[in-house]
Amino acid sequence: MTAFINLSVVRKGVQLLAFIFLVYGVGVSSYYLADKLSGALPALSCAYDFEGADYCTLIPFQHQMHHRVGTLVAAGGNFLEALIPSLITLATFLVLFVILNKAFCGWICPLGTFQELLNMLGQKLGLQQQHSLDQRLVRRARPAKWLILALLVFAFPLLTGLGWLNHDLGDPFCRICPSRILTTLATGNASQLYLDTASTTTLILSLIGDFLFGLVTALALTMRQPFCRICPLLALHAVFRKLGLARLVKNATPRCDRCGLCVKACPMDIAEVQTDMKRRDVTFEDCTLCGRCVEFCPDKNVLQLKYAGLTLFSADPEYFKKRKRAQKQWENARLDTLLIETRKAKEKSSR
Amino acid sequence: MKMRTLVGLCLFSFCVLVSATEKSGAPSPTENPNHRSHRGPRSVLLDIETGAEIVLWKPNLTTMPVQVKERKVRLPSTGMDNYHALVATRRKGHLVETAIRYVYLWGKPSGHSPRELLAQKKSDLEIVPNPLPREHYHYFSGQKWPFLVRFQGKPLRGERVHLKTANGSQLESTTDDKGLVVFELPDDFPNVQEGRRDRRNAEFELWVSHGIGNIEYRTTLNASYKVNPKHWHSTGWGVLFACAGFFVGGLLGMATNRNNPLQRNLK
Repeated sequence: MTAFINLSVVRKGVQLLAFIFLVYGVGVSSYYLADKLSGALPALSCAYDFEGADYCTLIPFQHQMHHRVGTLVAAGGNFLEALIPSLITLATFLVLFVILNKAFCGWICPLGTFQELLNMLGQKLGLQQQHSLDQRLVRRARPAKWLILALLVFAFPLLTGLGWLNHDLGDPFCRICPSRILTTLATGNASQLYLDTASTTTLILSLIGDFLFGLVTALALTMRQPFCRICPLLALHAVFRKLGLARLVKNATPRCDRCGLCVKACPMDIAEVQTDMKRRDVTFEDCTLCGRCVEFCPDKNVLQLKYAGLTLFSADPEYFKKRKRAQKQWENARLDTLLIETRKAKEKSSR
Repeated sequence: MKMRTLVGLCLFSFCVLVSATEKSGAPSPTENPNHRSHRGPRSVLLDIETGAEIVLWKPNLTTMPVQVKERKVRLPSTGMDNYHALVATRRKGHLVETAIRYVYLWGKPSGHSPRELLAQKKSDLEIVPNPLPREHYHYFSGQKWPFLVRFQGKPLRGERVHLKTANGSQLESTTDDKGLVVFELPDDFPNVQEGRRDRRNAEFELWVSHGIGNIEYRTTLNASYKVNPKHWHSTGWGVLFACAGFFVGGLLGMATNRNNPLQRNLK
């Protein structure tokens, strides 16, 4: 293994390809929604991006809650019949989700990739990085994703459909989602970065959306995956994670207690990967199956990435040593130090 | 001659698309006043009734006849979701007239793309939206949209295409070598107030004529367009709030860094 060939580099390559495909891949599918690959992708790829190959499952869920379930129930229709489109969307989502499980977050999601690239940029610019967040903060942030999923993806659209809330709350998550602004801006379209003065509701939602996009962009420069920690899709993944074929598996040893390198490596700061000594399946609710914990585990086979029971990647002391060295080399290559060294070299030569 | 052509063409076209409930005025009591159900039969007005043969092309490219009563075309529920094409054809002596309107009908997913419907030859001379506004999207004023003019399935180049809106604007352009013409839909809604939402829509109509021997072909394409949301969407303020978020994010990042015991340990 050289510095340039490791699981993280392979993952970055996959992430970039997925980003290009999902943000610019209109040629593979087409401009029309009917031609998009699934219409229920388990990753934040946005339908407002007209150049994309697919769009995320949260859009049809909100739309169906608003225009189908809510409307039909309000008109006295059959609730189960009203749920059929949502069940079809869920089934489509599950077919895809079973294949990659939560790796959709760590390997496919365009917003996840954007945050990782920003974090790399922040590190290269010499901005002070928060390698691990305070566990109290991590724990406090966890319920946010469940609240956003329950309220913004299901409850508000449903109540809007029932006529209890105003029409502008029919797709509240899309209106604040940073991926909507990111993916459209990435295609040179600034039409989604706006303040909407149509009503008080749209004003507030668009203000939150714009502010959140700026906030996430700035935080991602110094912090790992700030939006992922409150992403409702991560919560939806967590509900069905036991169905996925890809898993993070742990064979705990007494050394795990004293080590903790896996938690330091984890971009989501999941302390339980280290502390849980009983469970074998450690694909926790916040896990994105990025595999960094496996890479940085120094003990043989303690952590493993498995697919349908088969081991894909396993912790290994030799790999760990090389990976640690590669990480050090990567972190030392910074733009600010490079600039200082270039300036010094120039001054030396001019003297 | 031009004026007569204009009048003649304008007579043979689909106009204001209305649902049954819209036509009767207030929504039915069981409906949510915020949004009507889009499902079920709908109606379209045809400007002239006599001698026209009307068919509805479904997304799966099958057709069904459509009944006209007192100029009102009643579109049955096809049970299929996505765009349908309503095509009226009338032959009168040496004149063949066609009026086309793409109508979004709701139902179960058809499994077919609007591309298939657009590629299908529906009349000798036709104006084809290239593309149609994407599902759940609309034509908006101030936007540029390309249209393809086809004759017997092949692009027609160098043909004069006319556009007229219900708000009184008129435009003309000529098709290029690929048979394409691009129109910027006029931002011509009267009394639009900046910063306030405007849900009005209006009709626009494209038409073209083409002669082969002693036969004159004429076709119209009708659709509705809405007031462009840019009138109440401010990009400048959007950028400002994103910058404010960025600034706060920067401060928050620094504060979290300072207060993080793990970070302090590193130092």
